[in-house]
Amino acid sequence: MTELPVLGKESLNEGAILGIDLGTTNTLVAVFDAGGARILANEAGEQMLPSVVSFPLNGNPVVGKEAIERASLDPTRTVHSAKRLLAKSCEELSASGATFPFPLVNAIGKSLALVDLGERQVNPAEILGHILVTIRKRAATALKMDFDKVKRAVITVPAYFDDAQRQATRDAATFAGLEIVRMVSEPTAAALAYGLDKHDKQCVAVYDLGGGTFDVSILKLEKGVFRVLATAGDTQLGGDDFDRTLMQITAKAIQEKTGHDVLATPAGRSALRLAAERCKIQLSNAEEGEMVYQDLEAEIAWRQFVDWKTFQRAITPLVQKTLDACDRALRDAGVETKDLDEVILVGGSTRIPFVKAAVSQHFLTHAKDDIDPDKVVALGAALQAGVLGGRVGNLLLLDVTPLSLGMETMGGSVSKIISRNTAIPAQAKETFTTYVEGQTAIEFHIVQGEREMAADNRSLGKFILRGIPPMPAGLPQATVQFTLDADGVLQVKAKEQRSGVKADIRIEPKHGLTDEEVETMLADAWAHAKEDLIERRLTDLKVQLASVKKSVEKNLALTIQLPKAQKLRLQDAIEEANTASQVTNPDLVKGILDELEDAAFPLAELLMNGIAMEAVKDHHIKEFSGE
Amino acid sequence: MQPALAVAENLSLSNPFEVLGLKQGFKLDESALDDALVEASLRWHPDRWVGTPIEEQKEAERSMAEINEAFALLKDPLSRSEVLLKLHGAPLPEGTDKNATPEFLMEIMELKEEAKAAAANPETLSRFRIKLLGMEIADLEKLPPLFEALKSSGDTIGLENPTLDTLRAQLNRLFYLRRTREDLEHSTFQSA
Repeated sequence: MTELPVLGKESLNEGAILGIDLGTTNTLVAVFDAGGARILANEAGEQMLPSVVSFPLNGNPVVGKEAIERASLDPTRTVHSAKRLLAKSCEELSASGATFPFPLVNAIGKSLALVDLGERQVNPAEILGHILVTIRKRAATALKMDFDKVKRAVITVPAYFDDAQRQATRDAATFAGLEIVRMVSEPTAAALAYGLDKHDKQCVAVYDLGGGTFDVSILKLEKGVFRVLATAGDTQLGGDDFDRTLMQITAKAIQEKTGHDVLATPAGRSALRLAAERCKIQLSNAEEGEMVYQDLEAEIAWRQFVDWKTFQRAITPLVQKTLDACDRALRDAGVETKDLDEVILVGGSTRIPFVKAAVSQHFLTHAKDDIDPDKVVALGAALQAGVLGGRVGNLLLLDVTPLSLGMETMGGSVSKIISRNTAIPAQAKETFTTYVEGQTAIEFHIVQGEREMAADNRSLGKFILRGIPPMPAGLPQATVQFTLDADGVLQVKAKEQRSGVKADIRIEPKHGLTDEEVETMLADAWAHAKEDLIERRLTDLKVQLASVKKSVEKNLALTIQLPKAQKLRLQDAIEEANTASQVTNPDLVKGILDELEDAAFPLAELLMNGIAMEAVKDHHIKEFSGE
Repeated sequence: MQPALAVAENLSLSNPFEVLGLKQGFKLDESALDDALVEASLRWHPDRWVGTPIEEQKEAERSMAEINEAFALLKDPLSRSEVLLKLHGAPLPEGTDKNATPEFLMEIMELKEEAKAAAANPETLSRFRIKLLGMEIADLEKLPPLFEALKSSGDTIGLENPTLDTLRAQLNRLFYLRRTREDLEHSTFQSA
């Protein structure tokens, strides 16, 4: 046995390494300590931080549950699913069918979508950065440590993240003042958490369907070494897309009945999205779910039942896409379905019974979800942090790069330098030459993807090797070296062999940020970083309450038609609302607001002309429950 | 600005068998290869060097990249053969093979026709793919005795060596079969 290096001496002195699952929908943080891997909760005992950030016009960004509350009040300034926006252009995002309540705009001269707040444009990496700052604070409080001491983390990313998305994740961590010790693929982290290393030799598939991304990885396990054989996926496919199918079902029904397109306004999209999320969760536990949508101003009150068959039909094409990716991964791994010892389910979307059944059927085995699919990735990240900090021995992750890397060559085709599913870290070289007499500079265009033409792949950036002495065409030999580090991040070097000219290897990121831009982003954001979260939330809730109250009072005359109990409830709720200006606890205001909204629902129904509404409801119940 | 023109690929300089501490030869037990990778990874993977000086971490990253490349080269019998021929001082020539026999050229023509006809529907395509795979496997089985014969024929650089010629022809044929199959898979993958 070879002698192993001494591990973790330094790292142990530098404080805990966090394990962070930076998810599309929720973010979790875990640590590995004496009791093993455990999730850190906030002071209210909540483990999941919703990955939502709201930017009030005046004041500091709000993160998590409080940000969700602001979604209906301030839909254009409340950002959900920022992970999906990472290193993508507006065109790419709309091509994937995603719609957002907040406006997006491309950064000048780049294929990079930013959230347009009006007074400034926010990079999605910064938005994730705000989430990471909140997580870092939570960890410091939970671990009773100085904020400054909590600065190192293992962060998980979708296995199928490309180079630009990985770089952007690094930018987000930099923004939050966190050093990424290692970026780990989410499915790989999940496999680690399952502790499958106890067995001798195993072949495992991890199916990870989250809020916005899908990954499948095939792993071989042996003596504590987790080796990824192949991975496949889609970084624009997840639970968000399932929500969208529900949103469309209801939006269509509302439009047929009222002529009103609720998806046309940011507020409508935002409210309907929240309704769809709730409905989807109900559908995971019951035969049907309820889509509730209410807009007093537009005189719409909508309740619609969606049964699981309808939902299943709507999401079948999306689920099929994931199963196709599973086949690709198996083929690349050189593994057959019958060789698999286990199939593991990860990610909140695998709670959907149809998804679970489809995966089990596809792999011809019962798919496991013993560990909470929402938490397994964070636990795995904490374990990996434990390994890197020297607290856990004899575990090692060996991962691969998900997509091929290459260079554009003559005629616009791609010369592949590193193939997909190559083990990382990896190094590869290729030599290029000129094809024009006396050519003194060569342009290199780095691309990532599987398509044959460079233009069809993801462009990672261009650089130019200048100062080559004039030589006949074909004589210069420019060697380009690609290096993928253990995080799967690419570095490129180039050198002309005959003259010794080295490339100016700075790649101008087409999707990401330059170092200067990261610094500016940091400076901008920290400039107004004074915390006053409670005050902010209180003000927001009161504004929201006042607006609902106003709409109700405008239609007070109609309450005469309500049954007595409903009328009394509404009166009480309005009275409560009148006292709210004196209340200083935001939770109490939220309670008053929720009650007023609920109490006002019958009124909104009245507004919608009750009789016709009944007819439509019957019609839809029939349509959605029958085949 | 003119884009780059690709020329020959540079294989790494080190001997992949040495990198993984394995005995040089065509015959390679798959689990021995896996074990060699595991052992080398436990020593050199950058995860094992966290907290050490940055130069050491860089060195570990470079070593691990070399280990990964060596493993990939040896795992696949075709690239393993290429490595062995190169170590034998008789690397396969780049690009198309000028020494292909007329019989093989005929076979290529026939396979091309068959591929075209099979492309019509997924079922014939999948059957054709399986046929190619079968041919590949049958051809692979001819390699071990040839490498044995090459070993016993001794150091023959620069001399006429019928075993070497047969081996190279065999490998060219295998590479051709694989390329045809991969193109087929790639085009179905693209259209999916």
